[in-house]
Amino acid sequence: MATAHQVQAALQSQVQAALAGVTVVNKVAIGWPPIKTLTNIAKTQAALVSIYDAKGSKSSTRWGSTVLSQITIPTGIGVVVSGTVLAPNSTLTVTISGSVTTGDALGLVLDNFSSPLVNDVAECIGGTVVQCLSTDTPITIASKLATQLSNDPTLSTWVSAVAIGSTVNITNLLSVPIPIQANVGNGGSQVVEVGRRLRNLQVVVWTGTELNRQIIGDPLDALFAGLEYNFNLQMADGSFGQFYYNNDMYLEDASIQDLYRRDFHVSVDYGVTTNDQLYSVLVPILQYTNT
Amino acid sequence: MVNYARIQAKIDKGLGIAGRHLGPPYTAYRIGANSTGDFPTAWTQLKTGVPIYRERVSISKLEIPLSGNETLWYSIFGGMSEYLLGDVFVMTDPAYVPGISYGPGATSIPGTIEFNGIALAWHPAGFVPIGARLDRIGQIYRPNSVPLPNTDGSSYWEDTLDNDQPLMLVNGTYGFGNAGQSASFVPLGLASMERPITSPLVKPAIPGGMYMMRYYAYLPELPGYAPTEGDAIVTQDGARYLVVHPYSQNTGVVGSQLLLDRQISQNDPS
Repeated sequence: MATAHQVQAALQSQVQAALAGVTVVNKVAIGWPPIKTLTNIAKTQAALVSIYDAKGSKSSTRWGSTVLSQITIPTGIGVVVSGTVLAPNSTLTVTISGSVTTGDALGLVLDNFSSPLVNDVAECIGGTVVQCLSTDTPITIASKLATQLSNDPTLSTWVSAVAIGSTVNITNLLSVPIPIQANVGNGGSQVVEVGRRLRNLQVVVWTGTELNRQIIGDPLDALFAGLEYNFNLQMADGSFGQFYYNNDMYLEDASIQDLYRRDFHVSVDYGVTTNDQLYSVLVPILQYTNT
Repeated sequence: MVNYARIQAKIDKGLGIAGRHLGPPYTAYRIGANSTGDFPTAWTQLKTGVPIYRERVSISKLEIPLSGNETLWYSIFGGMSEYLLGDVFVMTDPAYVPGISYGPGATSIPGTIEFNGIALAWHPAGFVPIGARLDRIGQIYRPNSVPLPNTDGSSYWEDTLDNDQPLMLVNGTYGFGNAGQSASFVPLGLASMERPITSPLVKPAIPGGMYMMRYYAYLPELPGYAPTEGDAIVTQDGARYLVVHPYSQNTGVVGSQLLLDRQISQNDPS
């Protein structure tokens, strides 16, 4: 996720690389340099480059949220139901297999068509979810499923459940057929670009001599022009920011004597992203209305 | 016939007697015809053990058309009849020993770069001689009138210390040498004005940022040199000041009273 600091850090890295071969001792850092450091630059004739937020950043969002990448975690367990409809007084088996991946869950859905509407919401679909622990096995998961069905005040009037090893026998207690389904799932994550920022940055070169100002400043001039033309600015997370080299200037304003300054004004248009968690829908409960 | 000169000689003699009883010893220095280099080694040592007793005096009593008391002025109680304006006296009282001597340890911190000095600034008839406080040495540089050549053959108006001309004492006269040479050390008295809040020297005004800081300096009469705006004074500890308001007198109370911008702080002690 690109942040304001990551943009500055990426620019710092580029500037350091561009100045790696120059003969003048230099330091490149984010933020405004302390006055003592500046006076030392004037005395020692070294050089300093400060990367500073020039204020005035603004939203450059041009489109709605966009999913940049998505990761889903495959389940380690599997489930098979011996039929799709549980006839009155009949029994079906739910068989669990595999080994647990952290985050696995199992959901069982039952559909009772004889149940009335209450407050315009169908009471006919019920379900339960078993959240697996990393220590669970198909046998313990089957046991948990049977226990949850037996302890549910509604579902226990619809069916009875008995665990035998990794299998659960489910018997219909009603006089109507009950459609049945079982699902397994895990989670995931996705990176979503929820906005963009156009951030203005000020890269300030401080040197102790005019010659050093040229030695330090000119490579940066070429660097920024190249970033705009060729590659843009790559962030630590691999994303790119559109780079704009706006202007530069020699500053001879009132300052400390023997301090030579050159300012570069650049902008970076980068994405602001969020890392969202994804969830599997294991028990889809529908809502019905009479309108 | 008794005239003002003869009266003054008697006054001086009386002050000399007073100084002999009350004043610690000073060494007297003067720029000689062959003096070349730094104060005090290159200056002519006139006499050692000159007893001087001093008392602070207000500027309102002196022939100076300034109202500020930024220079520390002294009434000199000592025999000044043989000395000239611009002569410098440096206290040489030995280290403090109770009942025997009264110098470093009692009146100054031993081992520092400051010294206890006086420049004879005014010696009018019918008046106690006046001295100005001197406490350190510094070098003076003047912006070069010749631009600095760049490596590509172009030139640049570099109005900073790199291209400044050093003020050098050669054969009794001060003059400016070439950029890159080291200036001769001169004695001076430094003082700071009250610290007003002004605009920051380097924007933005971050915490700990530097604001315009004004200092004052007194320079004794230095033959061949008249301070001008933009002259830089670099004290022995590496601090740098720029002259923004020179004021010099060659009659009355002589010497230069300078208003300075402090530009660069002193070096960290090693």
